[in-house]
Amino acid sequence: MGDLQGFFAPRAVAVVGASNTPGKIGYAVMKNIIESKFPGVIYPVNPGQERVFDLPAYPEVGDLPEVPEMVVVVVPAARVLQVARACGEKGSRFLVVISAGFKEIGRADLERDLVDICRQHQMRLLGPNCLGFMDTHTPINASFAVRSPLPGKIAFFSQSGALCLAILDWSLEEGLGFSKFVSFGNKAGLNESDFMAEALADEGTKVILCYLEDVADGVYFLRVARENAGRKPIIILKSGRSQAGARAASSHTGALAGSDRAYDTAFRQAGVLRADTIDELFDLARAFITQPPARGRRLAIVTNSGGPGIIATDAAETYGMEMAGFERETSESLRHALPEEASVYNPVDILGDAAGDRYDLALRQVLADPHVDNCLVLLTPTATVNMSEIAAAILRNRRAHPEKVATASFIGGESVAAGVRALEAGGVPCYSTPERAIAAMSGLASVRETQARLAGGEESIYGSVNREAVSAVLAGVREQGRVVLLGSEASEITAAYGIPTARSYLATTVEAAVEIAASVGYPVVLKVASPRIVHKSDVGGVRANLADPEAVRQAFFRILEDVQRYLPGAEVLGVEVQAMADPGLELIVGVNRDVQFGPLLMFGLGGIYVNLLEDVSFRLADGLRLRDIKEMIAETRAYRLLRGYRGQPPADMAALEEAIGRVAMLVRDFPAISEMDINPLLAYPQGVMAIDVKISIG
Amino acid sequence: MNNSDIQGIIAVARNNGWDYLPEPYAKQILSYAGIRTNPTVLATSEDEAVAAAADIGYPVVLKLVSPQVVHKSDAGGVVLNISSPEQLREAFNRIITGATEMKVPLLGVSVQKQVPPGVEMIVGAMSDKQFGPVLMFGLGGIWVEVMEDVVSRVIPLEEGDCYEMLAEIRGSKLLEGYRGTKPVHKAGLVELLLKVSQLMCDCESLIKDIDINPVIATGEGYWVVDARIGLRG
Repeated sequence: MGDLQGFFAPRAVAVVGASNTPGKIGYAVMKNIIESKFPGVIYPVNPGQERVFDLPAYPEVGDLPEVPEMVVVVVPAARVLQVARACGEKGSRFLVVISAGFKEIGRADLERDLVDICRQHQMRLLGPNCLGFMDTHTPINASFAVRSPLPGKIAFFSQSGALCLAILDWSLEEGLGFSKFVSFGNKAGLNESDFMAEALADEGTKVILCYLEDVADGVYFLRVARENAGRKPIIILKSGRSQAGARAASSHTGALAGSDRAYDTAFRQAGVLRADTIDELFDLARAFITQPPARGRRLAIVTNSGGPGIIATDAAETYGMEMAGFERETSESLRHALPEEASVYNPVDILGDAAGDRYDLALRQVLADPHVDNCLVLLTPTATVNMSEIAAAILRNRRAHPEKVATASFIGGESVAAGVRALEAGGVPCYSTPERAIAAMSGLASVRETQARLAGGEESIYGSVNREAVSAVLAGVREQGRVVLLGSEASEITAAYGIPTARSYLATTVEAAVEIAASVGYPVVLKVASPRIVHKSDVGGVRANLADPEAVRQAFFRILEDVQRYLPGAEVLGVEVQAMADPGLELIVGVNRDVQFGPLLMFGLGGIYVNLLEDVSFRLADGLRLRDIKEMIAETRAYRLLRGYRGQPPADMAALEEAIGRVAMLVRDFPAISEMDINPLLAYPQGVMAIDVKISIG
Repeated sequence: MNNSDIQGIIAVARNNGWDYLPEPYAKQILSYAGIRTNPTVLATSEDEAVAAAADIGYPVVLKLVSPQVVHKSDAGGVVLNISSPEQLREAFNRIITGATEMKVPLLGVSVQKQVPPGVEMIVGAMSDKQFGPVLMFGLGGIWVEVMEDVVSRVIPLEEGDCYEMLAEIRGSKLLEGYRGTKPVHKAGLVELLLKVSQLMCDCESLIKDIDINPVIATGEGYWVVDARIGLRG
């Protein structure tokens, strides 16, 4: 983070375009910096003014009496380059360009020039086309937002300035405080990863929230997030989940992957929590700010009514929480303390006439139970409810057990508002519904699990790989000006990387086909070899179960005839000959290269079921460890089949894991491979076998 | 459908103290209801089995018939692709020996026509305490428990409901034909669903549940190849 040091606490800030005219951005920025009680020096720059906000103004940056460490620029886009140059020459380190009129309106050229100037002068650039930034600890508000955030421990970074403003306004009402608040704008210079790194190192920040439309540099992002390894929660709301943008791809993996899948996978593997909605983002933030790290998923519910207790129990299952089973003493003590009609098992129902004392009695027992990691307190506004008493009882017990996660849901409107406020002020997040509370607690637990998951283990590396053979095949393909490998070439590559493969060989004459058949052993299968034909069987391009030379001869000519009939003029390089494999469970292992995050690995049920059932899981190939491979297998429904099903013997898991690991290694070693499918990869009780391999190069 | 035929079979089962109908009996009831089941004959001796296979025509399948064994393949009680009397005798004895070793009460071995491959589906019906008879449809065979890809409707159903069920399962694309295979005969499947619904409606007082798994759907129609019917106590 070295080069961002000082960004949030510059010694001196110049505002180019500072104005005395209310309504102008140069006015709002000046007003905010001054009113935020910024402790450094402020230099308004405006050639037409003597003074701005009662501070001496300077005509140009060059005229300033010292080097302003940071310059905030609000002049029109046309003048920004000139200002940037002046700042660079003066020796400024940080340029915050609020001005719009760059890439977002088609002026990518202007933006490139701005980046070049900053690079020449080693200035770090925030923006352009942004709202600015705030730091409540410095303090400084170098933005044109109408209001300033409350001080707190959340760092919020956003690719949308408008969302920044909305969140800010809302947070004031909710009493949520921020350490840092940054609007990235066009992200021409500094991006999310720079600020994430900075906030991870910042002691004043406990939780990092981010709204993103894309990641600017996937490799950098992964490095920063992986170094953190879930220690400090990073929660990202990333828009663009819809598949509309997923590009058409020639491979199964490509079609199923889509770019959002890469984000999902990368976030997960880097220990970043993904929120799907703005609500969820802030529900999680409130939980992380107030709660200790989750110790597990066991949940106790204390409620004053049956219905919400059942709803919460259902939600617990939906979000993967476990209903805690109490110690016998806990239920017995509850039995003594509570009325006879109360339920002393989880969920604990303390009945509609419960007042503060009954909440107190129940929570004392429940929170002390060693099988309880999380506690959710529910309240519905019955006639006897005294809000302040109940809130006090909850807070008292919460303080007695600071090691446990405690949240609440007071369900209602006006009549519960006072209780909600009291709880929030006391550090117990109170959600409008039990489902939201449980979703937030599940988020706490999953970050904790992420830490354990990311800890330890090295990227899986395997011996006996023949890199030269792969290079030679790829060079040959390139020489012929092709991007799609023939089955024979692809099978040579997987075999060279130690992946058990039913090799397929190209025969250009019928006699060659017969010779190959003899050497691989009967029965054999013949497939048309054509770079253009993807679904070979649809055009009569496959003949299986050929038991003798005569069958091979006939099949050879039939294939050529059929292909000619279905696809007249299709380029045919010959026929591929392959030994028939024994039937096994059909799996797929595929790779699709993501622009940001590199090769994305896919595993699942293969054969015809890939597209039909989409039973697949994904991982990034970079840094893939054995435990990641095991997880990705276990995530699919196919796993149940692999473990042995209805009297079938289990599949050879070790061989499958190694095959996946070797595919990952292959695509890491050869960035030229842009897409790859092994479909099917057959799994047997002993070993696996790659049957059909497709590889494309970029 | 002749209710008295169905009642006859169920009466036999009750006399024997069975709480569900073994496969050949279940298939008999289904065929009374106009449902296409693959030809199935219960044989109690090797020679009977050979004669039945000659009648049905090879290749055949042999299956253990017991009032106790639900998952026949787990117990080694299913042998597929039998194409000669020699193979049949060998398989017959293997099944009997296996069952004897496991001390499974035995009614015999069923000899069945091996049907051509197709899409394996499941059709089930049960009685819900609140809503009465309910029909279930989905991917069958090993996919039932792995994919849990099934949809349900409360009976009675109309043709339109059945077509909806076909379209609603996740694996519905399997029914459209893939990689050169023909789409399945949907009207046939719909007819099957309607007939199972009708059977469940008519015999609700006798039948607790019907489990047809798998039914093989092909381009021409369907074949019920395994079925089980639970009886009301």
